[in-house]
Amino acid sequence: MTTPALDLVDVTAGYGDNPIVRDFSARLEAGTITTLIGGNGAGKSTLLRAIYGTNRFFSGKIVFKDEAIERLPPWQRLQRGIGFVPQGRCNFPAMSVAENVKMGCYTLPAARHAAAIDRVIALFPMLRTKWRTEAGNLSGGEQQILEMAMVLLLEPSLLLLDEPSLGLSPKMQADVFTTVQAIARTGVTVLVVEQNVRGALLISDRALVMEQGQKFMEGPAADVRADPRIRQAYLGGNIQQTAA
Amino acid sequence: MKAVAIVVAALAFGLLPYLTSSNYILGVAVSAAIYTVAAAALNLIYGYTGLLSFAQLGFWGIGGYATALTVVTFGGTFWLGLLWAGLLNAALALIVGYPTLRVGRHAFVIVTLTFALLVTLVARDWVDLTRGPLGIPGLPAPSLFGFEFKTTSHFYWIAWIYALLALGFLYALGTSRIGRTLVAIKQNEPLVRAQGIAPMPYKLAAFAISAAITGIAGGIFAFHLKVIDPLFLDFYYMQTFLIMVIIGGAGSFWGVVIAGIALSALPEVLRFSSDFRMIIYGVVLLVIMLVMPGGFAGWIRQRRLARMRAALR
Repeated sequence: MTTPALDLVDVTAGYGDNPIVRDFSARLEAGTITTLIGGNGAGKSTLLRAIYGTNRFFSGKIVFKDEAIERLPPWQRLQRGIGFVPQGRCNFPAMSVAENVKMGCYTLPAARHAAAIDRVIALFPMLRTKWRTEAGNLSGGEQQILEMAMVLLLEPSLLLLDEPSLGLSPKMQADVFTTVQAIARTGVTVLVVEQNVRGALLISDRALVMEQGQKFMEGPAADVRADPRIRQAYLGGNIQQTAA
Repeated sequence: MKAVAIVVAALAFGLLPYLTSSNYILGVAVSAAIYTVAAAALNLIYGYTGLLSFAQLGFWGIGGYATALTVVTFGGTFWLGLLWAGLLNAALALIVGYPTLRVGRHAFVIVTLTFALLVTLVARDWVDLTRGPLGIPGLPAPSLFGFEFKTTSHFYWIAWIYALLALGFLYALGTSRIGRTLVAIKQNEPLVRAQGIAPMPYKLAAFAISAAITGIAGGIFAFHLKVIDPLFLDFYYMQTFLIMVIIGGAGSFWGVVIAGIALSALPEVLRFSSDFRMIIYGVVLLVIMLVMPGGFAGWIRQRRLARMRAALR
């Protein structure tokens, strides 16, 4: 058993007075890709936000690198190595790629900027060719890659991706999945929420299935992909009805 | 090349008193310099940071009154008055901005508008301090090392040098890491937070800097007029600064500078039309907004993008 990069213990989180995710426990092993799947409103994005600290945390424990982080503000979680790319467009659209990348370096010491920028450009050469282009004028896939690059500048050891392929063409979705694999190969642990379940499961090591705020299933991605209940649910059924 | 053009243009404006002896033209030039600085200061808080501040009118008035009172009531120099104008406005901006910026952008607009109205009331009704509607006439010409800036051409130097310093500072700030962060806050504040940056100190600093620069501009302008009264807080000034920012292109330094100079000169150019002058001015603004909804800078940007797209076809 490898060391867990993230340990979620009975996490209950939500918004205002409403817990959305309830008693959710899971372990993410270092350097793996885990896909979090579930129907609309299952609480997938809420769980990612709870890990990053941008919503209300009710109870439970979030242990990252042997430290309980559930009460830390987001910027301290960022400092400890958690990167989050939220759903939707997450860049500065009227700023150039160069300016966006420089904004991503903001919390790094100035002496480390050049090395960090070189590292992400080596990972995503597209950034160099579009260096002076405004982020808002990039294609959807390019914007998604820019957003991941901005987070990777800080060398996170855990990357949270919320719907990275949302609204992209099948070709661009494939590019994004390839990129996520490339990121994981550098040793980063990835937890990804994805609407393209088939594509996400194909690149993942493990999968977590959520239904109505709770964990419904977990296991190796290949097993989850082969499970008839998952096949049924994602062809239009409901996991709990299928299970019953 | 661009830097050379800028230096040449700045020097050309500096040589204006040698090119004309007309007090009318030099007076318009003083207004242009001061209005452009006030517009550029508004651009810092509104154009860059995305916070529409009507408090600029209040800072303008406080700057004018602080400088005038320092000289006339407290016996200080014009320069000390300007220093007070800047410091007082920066302090007030911090006091007003700290609670307001926590609430949200809409609350900020309302509070800054209320602040401007409050300053107008104080100027009119605190008669013991401001002399109310009578105002403070006969503001003396500033002097430095025995040299008195008595004539309009002499006073133009003060306005020109202040414009160079203030615009140079705002340009440096806008192109720095701080300026980039302000623009980022305007474009996507939640993302700025997600990247571990606290927006509040940046917003507060932008507000205080724009207040100080506007206040000093107000102080200089009051001494150009040689009188200050509650009309100095007429909404006309706020509207002028805002129009300059919008027509120039909110968030564009050079767009606002060009608009500041052009729109200061435009009403004077239209004087030939006598009674129709302001109607024509309004129509010109309407047409500009219809043709360039993103302002002058936005229009240039759109053209550049169109050229790029055409080249890709």
